[in-house]
Amino acid sequence: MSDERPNEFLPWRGKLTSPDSLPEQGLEDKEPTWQRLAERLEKKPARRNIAWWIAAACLMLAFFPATLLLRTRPAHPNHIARHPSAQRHSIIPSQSHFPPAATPSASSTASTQSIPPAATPSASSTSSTQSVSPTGSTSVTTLSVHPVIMARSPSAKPHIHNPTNSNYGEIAPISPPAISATPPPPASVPPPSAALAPHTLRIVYFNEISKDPGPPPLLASRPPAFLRLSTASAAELTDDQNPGPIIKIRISSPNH
Amino acid sequence: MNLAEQLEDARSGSAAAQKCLFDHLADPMMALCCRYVKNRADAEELLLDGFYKFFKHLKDFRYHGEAALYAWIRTIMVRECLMFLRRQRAFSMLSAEPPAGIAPDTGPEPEPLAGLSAAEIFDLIVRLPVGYRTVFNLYVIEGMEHKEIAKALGVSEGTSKSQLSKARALLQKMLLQKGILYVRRKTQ
Repeated sequence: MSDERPNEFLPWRGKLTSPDSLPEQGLEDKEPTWQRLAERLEKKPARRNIAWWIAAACLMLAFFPATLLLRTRPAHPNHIARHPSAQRHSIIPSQSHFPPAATPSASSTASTQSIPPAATPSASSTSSTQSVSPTGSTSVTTLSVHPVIMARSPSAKPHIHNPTNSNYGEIAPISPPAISATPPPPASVPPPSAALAPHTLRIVYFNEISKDPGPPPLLASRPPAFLRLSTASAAELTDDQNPGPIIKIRISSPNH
Repeated sequence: MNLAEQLEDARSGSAAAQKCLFDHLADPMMALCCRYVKNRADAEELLLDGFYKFFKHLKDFRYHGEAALYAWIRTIMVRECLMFLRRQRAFSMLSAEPPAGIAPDTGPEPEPLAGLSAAEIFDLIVRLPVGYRTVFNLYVIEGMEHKEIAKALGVSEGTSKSQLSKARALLQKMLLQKGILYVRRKTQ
């Protein structure tokens, strides 16, 4: 087989490629053919991408209701959350400081919080105590423990204070929740959005107030002496009435 | 109005200029399509497709003369014909085997077939099988190389050479059977 171009047929090229070589092979009637071509030229080109857009829209329409359905499905009590952030509750900031009776224990968290109905834990994991505030009003303190923690055996000590020690599926709170014994706001009235901002409580020590270096270590380490506290100011007391020092304690927060 | 002005007007969307160009180029392009596709209805559809692309991409064409215009529109038409033939799977059964019963071209080259008219050449070519005809058209008439033909048809380079050799042998055989110019010239 020869790779050379067949030269004997080369004269055919000129005969066949000249514009007026084969008039008998041309169109018999050009007008209808031109009309068809003109119609095609006037038509706007079909957009093939529109099919992809329609398919994408259908997928979105199918995806969003499914997502909403999964998000609003009530959680099973034995359900172990895979993501700790999914179980975070919105914590209503406290309006007052801890009364002595509402000091939380190590394994439970006392909080006044609004729990959505879908995420309300079972009755076994929530206990309510009713107490009387110093002002005479009745306050309800809800002691809620996460159902995952409650489902563990009582002997197992939850590592809720150290996120690195928490097991998989266990809720490891990042920050200690604000605890309050004040009555929760009524369910019909939602709390204002500004009140949802977390409050940071800080204990201001005495030496910060008086700008003093503070008591010497010897005084701090000696057994506590019970001193008489009086509501009277230091100027009204004479020396024989108030032989002891005056202790000033101020508890403040950025919002107070 | 000369061809350059017609092209300029057609590029700007003038239907009259486009019709003038169509009238001017339709006959040779229809003959080209019929050289690749035997069915005239199919050839007319390919002609329409080719002219549609020609007018749509006319803004990209730079006019350097009538020959350039012809070469460009011929390229468009040939491509349309090859796409049609590939859709028809016309080249799926082509083999690279040497032609059986036909002796290889070891002898002297035959004399030029210059005496044949264009209509006779056209008639000979369209009688070839589709594989032979396509490769012969591309190699001899369009001047393409075997590598380009193999890429255009989706076959191997050896298949392209084999098809050309078979086409040449069959053409010689047809010319001998017709007893026309080719034989007469050899006996001179």
